[in-house]
Amino acid sequence: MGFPEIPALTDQLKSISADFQYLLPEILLTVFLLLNVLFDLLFKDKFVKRLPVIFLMQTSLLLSICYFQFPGGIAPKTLYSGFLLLDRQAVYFKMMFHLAAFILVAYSFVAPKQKHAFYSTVEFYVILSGMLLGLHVLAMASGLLSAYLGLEMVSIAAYLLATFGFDKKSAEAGIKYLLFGAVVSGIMLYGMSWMYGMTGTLEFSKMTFSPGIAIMIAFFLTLAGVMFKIAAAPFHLWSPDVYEGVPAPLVAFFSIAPKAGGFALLVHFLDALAGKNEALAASLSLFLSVIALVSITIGNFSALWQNNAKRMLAYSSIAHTGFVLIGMLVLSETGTKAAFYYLGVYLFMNFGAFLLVDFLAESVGSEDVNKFKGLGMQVPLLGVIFVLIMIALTGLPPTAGFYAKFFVFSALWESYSLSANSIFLLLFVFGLFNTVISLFYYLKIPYLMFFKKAEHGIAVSSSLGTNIFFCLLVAPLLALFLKPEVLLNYMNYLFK
Amino acid sequence: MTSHLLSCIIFLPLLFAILILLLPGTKNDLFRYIALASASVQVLLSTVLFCSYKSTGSTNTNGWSMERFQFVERTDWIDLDLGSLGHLSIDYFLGVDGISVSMLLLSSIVVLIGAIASWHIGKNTKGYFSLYLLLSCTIPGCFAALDFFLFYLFFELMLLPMYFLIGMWGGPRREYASIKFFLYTLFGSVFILIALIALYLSVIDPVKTAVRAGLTPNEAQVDARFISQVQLLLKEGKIEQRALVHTFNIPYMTDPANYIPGSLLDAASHRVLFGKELRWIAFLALFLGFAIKMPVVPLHTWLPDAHVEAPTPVSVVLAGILLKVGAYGILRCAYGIFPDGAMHYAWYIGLLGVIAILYGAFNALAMKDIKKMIAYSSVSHMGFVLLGIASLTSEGVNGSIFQMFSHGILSSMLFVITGVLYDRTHDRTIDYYRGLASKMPVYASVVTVAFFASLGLPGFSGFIGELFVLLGAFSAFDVNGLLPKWMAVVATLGLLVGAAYFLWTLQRMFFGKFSLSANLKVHPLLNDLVMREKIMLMPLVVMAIALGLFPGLLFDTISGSVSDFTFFVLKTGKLYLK
Repeated sequence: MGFPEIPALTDQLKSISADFQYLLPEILLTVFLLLNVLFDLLFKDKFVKRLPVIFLMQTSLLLSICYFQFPGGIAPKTLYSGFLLLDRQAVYFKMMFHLAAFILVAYSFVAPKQKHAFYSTVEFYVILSGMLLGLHVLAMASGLLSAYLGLEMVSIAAYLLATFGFDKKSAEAGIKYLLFGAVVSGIMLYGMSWMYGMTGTLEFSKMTFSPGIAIMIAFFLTLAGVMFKIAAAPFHLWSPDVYEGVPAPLVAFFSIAPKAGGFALLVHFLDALAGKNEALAASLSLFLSVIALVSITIGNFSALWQNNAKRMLAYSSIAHTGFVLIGMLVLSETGTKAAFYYLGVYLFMNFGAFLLVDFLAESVGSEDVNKFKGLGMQVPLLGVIFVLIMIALTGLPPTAGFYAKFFVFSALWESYSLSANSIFLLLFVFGLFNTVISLFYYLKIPYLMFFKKAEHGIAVSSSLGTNIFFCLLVAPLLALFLKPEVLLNYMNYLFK
Repeated sequence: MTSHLLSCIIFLPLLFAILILLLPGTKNDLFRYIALASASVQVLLSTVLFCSYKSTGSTNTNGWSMERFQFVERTDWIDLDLGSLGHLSIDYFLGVDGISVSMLLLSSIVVLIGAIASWHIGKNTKGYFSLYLLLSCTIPGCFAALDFFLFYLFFELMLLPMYFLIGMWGGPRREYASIKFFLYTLFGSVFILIALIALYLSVIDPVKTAVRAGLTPNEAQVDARFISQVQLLLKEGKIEQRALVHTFNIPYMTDPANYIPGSLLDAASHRVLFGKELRWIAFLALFLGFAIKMPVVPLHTWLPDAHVEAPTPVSVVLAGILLKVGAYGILRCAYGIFPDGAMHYAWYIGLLGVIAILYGAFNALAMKDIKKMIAYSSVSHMGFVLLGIASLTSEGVNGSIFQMFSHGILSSMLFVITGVLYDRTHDRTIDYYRGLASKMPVYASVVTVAFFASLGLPGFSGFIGELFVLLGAFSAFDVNGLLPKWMAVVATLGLLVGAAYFLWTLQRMFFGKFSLSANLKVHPLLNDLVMREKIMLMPLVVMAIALGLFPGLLFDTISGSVSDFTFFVLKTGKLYLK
């Protein structure tokens, strides 16, 4: 007789080792991370100088591996007995993270002369890789444990990166981020423990429950952690301060990658749970509607009064969170696709906005928008690009930002016409009118750049490389306006 | 070439704009000539278009079917798979009927006048002329688009160049005026967008749906009988959701059979929101969006600010055609797609027209700045357009289109006239001038013609437009019962006030003994019209008189389409309202 469990255990071990092949990008990422540390110890400065190029190569390699991870036709794959779920949507998010990291590091080549110090430290690249690893886990998370693991990996890396401005403001931002983050993390863990207690499983897809007030509370507490990561109001309090204190390229990355990660988790969460129970779906939808409504309102109205360009964009990104949430909360395939599309477009426009602000702010030495007066005449090309990006953020043609909003609101209208839920109508009308409000502050910087005279002694110039970099950043926004089906067909592929 | 004539008219300026962008910024003179060349070619092409448009008699048959349009260009632009929702198809779909062909001609004329008026723009000419050409690409686009999405894109694209043109080259309060213009119009276009999203999710393209549903192998084999079969299948719910091809095609949107049964804007299902039919609310959304552009009192407050601050050429374009885009949108989109809403709210729309006529006129009477006076006279004249549209009689709508054309010519003239004065003295206060006629005789006579034409003196174009509008408004009570008779009577008062402010201004500024106020800061050099100004004004004078004497020049082209339009709206509207 002996130990009957052993064959079962070997089976498990076998399946675990078989699952490793699906984690090629993650394993490679870990290897790169360790190699970077090792080479730094061996070669010191020589290595650090070349590190940006090396990192770009690593990221492009990982990006392409992620892309080819699905040669086509493979069904979603559950890994490690429900710990991770590798599906096409997760792959889409992974590609987004790497693209974001690529743009973040590529910017170091075109940033103004006194470029940010963090670009020449090895720690930055190592922590960034760690964060990417966490994001990968987050994108594939299909259970409470993996979700928490992913969120914490991302958060801890983010707390550290936030201090990489190496000044007082940046350190303050890092501490604030950490304090808020730790509290929310605790709340979320508390909610997760309730969920586990009531359902007896860690896997989203295996959870069964009877609706009741207790399970609702558990859900909302758990979602709080996600809402914090995507900076949705009222869990947004950290973001303006952090965004203001942290160097702009990092903020750009923060406003995209961890946010997209949070949304990736939310998609898996809603996918697995909302379909099971109509009452739950309705209350989740209501909860997210309120959050979206509050985010859009607080984001846009607070942005109106900001003079610090980064703070303004921080509030703008809170509003955008609301718009993406609209796509998610209708709990339909069309809506999720629209949200994914929105995130894809948002990557380019938000990076464009933050990096342009950084470029101008570093050139004139201040983040105050009033210091940007008259720069449009000095660097006309960047001025025009700025206008295009701001128009995209507002959601107007001729940019892909228009389709992003168009699809999201189409999905919302469809859900309204099916359910006649009046909160959807409220969200529809209110959300669209918010674009008018947002125009007011989005146009502020172009307005100052073109309509005002430059202050004495301020001169900005941009090199050919900078111009090309920003042109490449804005090109997808224009191309996707003319041919939106390119990205949307990819969305269809994701959901096949 | 004729098969792509419309595309040529629309995108030619864009090519010229790109040319300007590629040239080095120092060649100021060259930019002017490029813009002039672009505008001239545009006029030439639209004249060709206007002349080769075959005016159709009224058929009063199938209303607004696609066959009514000429110079049609139609290719698939965007085809999206929306999954469970079906497909979304956006066409690059252009075409003109009598109404839009006349607006296209008007827009190219006004753009040409504007290009000549831009001659003395000195600051940053490269930016100015590329934006100006961009603007002159979007306006004909609006008039020619038959796909609502395309229309909306052109409509939105107008805002950006306009914002920068006012904001960078305008007067002292240009920043305020430009952002006000932008926000107001964007506010309006959000209403349009709301209706647009609701519409496309309710309407299908029967031809493409037939192909998707596997009823026919290709689109070429689909004829009218087949379409009605498809529509019947749709009505019976026999086409599955995934095969539906949603469309923005305006002619399809006008056909009640293309609405998905049970969808929110389907007339048969009478969906209700806040106690009103959803279709009526959608109509109001479209109407509101275009009414801001037009502008209709009380949504007009951006207009005087924008006009006063805009440089002369931009004022010319703004008054000459941008306002017409609003009216055209009401006609083509709001009325064409929601005839029931149009009939339901006809009384209120007529009332808004009357209010605009009187309010604009009385305000104009009180203005001290001549440009502001003209801006308010625009409000008043566009009120006539609205009243004519609301009457839904053949005379009324014909009068509206005529009034639009005539106002395009006359307001361009009036704004060029104020520009002439402003160039010389940098002040437009009416009270500062006396007896200008003795110093500037040619100028004074042109002003006299423009003023008399604008106040509606017989023999000039303004008279014909207003007369027909009033006739239509008066007969509406007997023809379709939409407007009460007192509206026409009250609107006639507007003519009287119009005569008052124009004549009073003429008398104060031009007649009597010559004197200038000491308040004029720049020492004025009051020379008479120079050649450039004559070139701008004389053709406009000729056109105002020609149209006044031979209104058939325009009526021949528009009347067929107009009677189709009114017939269609009344017939379909009654059908829906039953």
